[in-house]
Amino acid sequence: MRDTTIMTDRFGGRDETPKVSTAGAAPAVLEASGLTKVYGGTRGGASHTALQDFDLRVEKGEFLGIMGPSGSGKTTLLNLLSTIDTPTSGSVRIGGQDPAGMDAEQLALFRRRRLGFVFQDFNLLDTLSLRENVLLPLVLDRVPVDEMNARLRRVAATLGISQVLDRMPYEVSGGQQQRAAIARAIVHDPDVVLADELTGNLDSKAANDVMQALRALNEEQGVTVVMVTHDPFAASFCRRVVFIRDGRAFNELRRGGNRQAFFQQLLDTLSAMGGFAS
Amino acid sequence: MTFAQLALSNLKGSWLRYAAFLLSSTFSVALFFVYAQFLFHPDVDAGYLYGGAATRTVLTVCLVLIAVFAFFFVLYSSGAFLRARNKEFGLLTLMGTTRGQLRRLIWLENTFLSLAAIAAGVGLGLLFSRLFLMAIARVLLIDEPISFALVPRALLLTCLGFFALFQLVTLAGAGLVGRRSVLEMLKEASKPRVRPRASAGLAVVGFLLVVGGYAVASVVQGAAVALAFVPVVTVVVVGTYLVFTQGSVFVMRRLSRRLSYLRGTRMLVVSQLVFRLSDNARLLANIATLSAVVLAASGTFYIVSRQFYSTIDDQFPHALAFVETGDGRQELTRARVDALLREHGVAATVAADVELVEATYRQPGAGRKDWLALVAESDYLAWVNALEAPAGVGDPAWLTPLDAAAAADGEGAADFAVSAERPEEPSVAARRVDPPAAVPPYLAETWYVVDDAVWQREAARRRTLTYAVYDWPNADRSTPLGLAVSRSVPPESTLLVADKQAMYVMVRQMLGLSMFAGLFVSVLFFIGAGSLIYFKLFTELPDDRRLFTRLKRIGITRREAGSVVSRQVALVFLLPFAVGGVHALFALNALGGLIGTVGAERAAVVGYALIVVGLFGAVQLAFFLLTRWTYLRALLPRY
Repeated sequence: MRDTTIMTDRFGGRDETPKVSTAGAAPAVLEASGLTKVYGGTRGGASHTALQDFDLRVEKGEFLGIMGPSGSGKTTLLNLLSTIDTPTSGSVRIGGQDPAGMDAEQLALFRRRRLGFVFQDFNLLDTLSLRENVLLPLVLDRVPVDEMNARLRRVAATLGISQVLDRMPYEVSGGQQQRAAIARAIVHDPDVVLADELTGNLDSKAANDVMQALRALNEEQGVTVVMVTHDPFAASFCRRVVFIRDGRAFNELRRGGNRQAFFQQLLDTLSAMGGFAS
Repeated sequence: MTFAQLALSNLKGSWLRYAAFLLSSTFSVALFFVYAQFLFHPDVDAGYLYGGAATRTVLTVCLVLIAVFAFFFVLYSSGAFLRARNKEFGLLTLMGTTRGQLRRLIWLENTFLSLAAIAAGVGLGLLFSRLFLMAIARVLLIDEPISFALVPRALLLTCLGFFALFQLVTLAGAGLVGRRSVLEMLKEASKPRVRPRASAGLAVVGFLLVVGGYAVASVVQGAAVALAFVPVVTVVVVGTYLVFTQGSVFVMRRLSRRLSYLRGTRMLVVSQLVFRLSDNARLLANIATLSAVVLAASGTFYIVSRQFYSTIDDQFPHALAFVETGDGRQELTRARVDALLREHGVAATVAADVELVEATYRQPGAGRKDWLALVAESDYLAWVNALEAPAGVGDPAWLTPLDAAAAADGEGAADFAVSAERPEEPSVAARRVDPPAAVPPYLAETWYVVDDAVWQREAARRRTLTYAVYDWPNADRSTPLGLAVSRSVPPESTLLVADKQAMYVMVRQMLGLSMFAGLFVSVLFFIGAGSLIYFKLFTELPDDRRLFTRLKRIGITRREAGSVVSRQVALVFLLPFAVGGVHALFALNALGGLIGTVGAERAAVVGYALIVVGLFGAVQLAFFLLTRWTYLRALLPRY
């Protein structure tokens, strides 16, 4: 059990900013406040503010999308949330812990135990079979073999990759690779799964399969997902979408009814924001 | 940007990749230059050198070997460099670079590299020339060190020779570039990595061949070793090739089926090693085989030279033995030798004289006469006692004095006839002994111990000699005393000297130079082999970087990443050497059988072999540590 209850106490009574959901008393698994990231400017060069005073609260079991045009700061945000970059100011708390005080060693362990990652380029190791790729976080943590196999069976079945586990990444389709990557991201029960443009390299059929699988995980198993994307189709699977532009929060949409209507809402917001070619 | 600037920035951009190549080339140039400096040195040219022509031949062979080695090393490395850059060349072609321009670019790059290597090599060579001259003077026991000088001929030969060599290889390599289509070149880098498979059968055959070769090598003795040599070497070479190409992959795949594979970083190490070993299998097999050859050659040389020295120890149990003609010692008197000993701060552990009478003898039936030495019973016993040697009983014999007339029937008049049975004629009882000390040249080796009275009688009528034996600790190397003693007498003197140290010096001059030369060529080989592996590692750096970037995101600690890389680098680096080392040990053990050693001597041979393998192993280990450090720095700069 992770100490999310303590977090609820600490953040429960807080005045919430308008951007952040006030939907209920669900505990926050991820909490970012006043995040600012400034690049450059150290050696007399021009500085660039990629992210400015950004707040975000993600509750357990949420399926959150972050949308924005190129250069809006969404990748910076994801890097800060995933602890591979450090903010210029502001703080991130994940599962009640602040990674700012950790050294590189602790950060690595924190990432592999508490976070799950899904990337645009799948990020599978091409020297490992799909099975080995999925097991990697557990193997590195020396989890007993029986437990590993039990978890593997469960996630592989959910994601429909049981039949291809012994193939190498280059032997399966992009959709299967991405589903294997999702399996790897959830096999160790992370606090939150961070996904970066996960449909960017997939055709529309595969993208649909992958998003359906992710939604099923979210709805049936309560997996918390934060997904950065360009693609309104992928974002339409989310229950809440935060828009970001020029490093600041721009707008926020919640899915009320069906996905089709939400998709249309997303398109409208995007065209209002500008900066999207399509 | 000019073409030359592009070439330069290409080199600067990936200097880590070229570092080992540059290092090896520089080392080859430096070594060549140093040898050439010595060979063409005015002092050496003027015949300063011991062994003259023979030494010059050895050094010339060395020069040629270094050049041949450098040629093949450069040829192989530049081929590999070019293959690793296919994607880059494809991109350049896509942007409209013509094939001619591409070749010019490669030619420029390699010319810059070779000029850098030649400049650095000559610089390093100059730096070490002095050291080399001092070392070689010591090895060859040249009294006055050879003066340091820049020899223009050596400089010219090194610079022009290596420039020509590099140009030759470069032009050959550049000609091959750009033959394939742009698409092929571009796709080169993104080819999927198919997990290699190995044939279990071939892997087992490989292991069996090697083990069988070892078994035969351990069993054969004497002349059979020479007969078995070619078949066993062939079998082991083929076996080694199979072990590396099939066996290594087979073993890794077996390892990946074990449950312990799924614990910690082992999975990453093993799964990557399958690729690394199979990609480099042929290179590693070649290095293993060549390592075995170099180690076995060095080992053989070392063992043979040890045998030479132990033969000297057998033949010269004492530091110095000399013989003076006439009554007592006139030239090298006790006082004079004692003074020399004191001068060198040496305390003699043995100093014993014995008086001999020289005479000729003839055995019945044998026409030839020969020299013998008579020694008086009491004198002999006292002398042997002083030498702390066993007196020995000796074979009984009878000496019959021959008068001049009776002796004249053979080739010449002999003083005695010798027989084992007591003859009819009046004769003298004697016993034949082997002197327990080194016998100087021209002194009779056949000694007969006779009764004191008989000796006195013979001494009065014949030439007498004084045979003196000295010994002191560390006579072989500690002080030049033996030489000092033998040189302190005028050359026209009739003194006969058996000088252990002179013998040592001779053997050492004979073997030392070859050893010195061989050592450098061997070290050159290992540095070359090491830098080839280094280079192959660096061609995989982009792949590894991508891999570890991925792993880093997932959450692998720096320590884990470091250990994953280190274990792989260690295996790739040290496995060929270890295999070569074991090959060499079995070969040298068989050599022990060939030269007919048994028991303790055989154990000593294996011990010497272990020393040689261990020394080169230390060099290889140092190279590995350096490579690992460099690679980790390049791969995980800041984590």
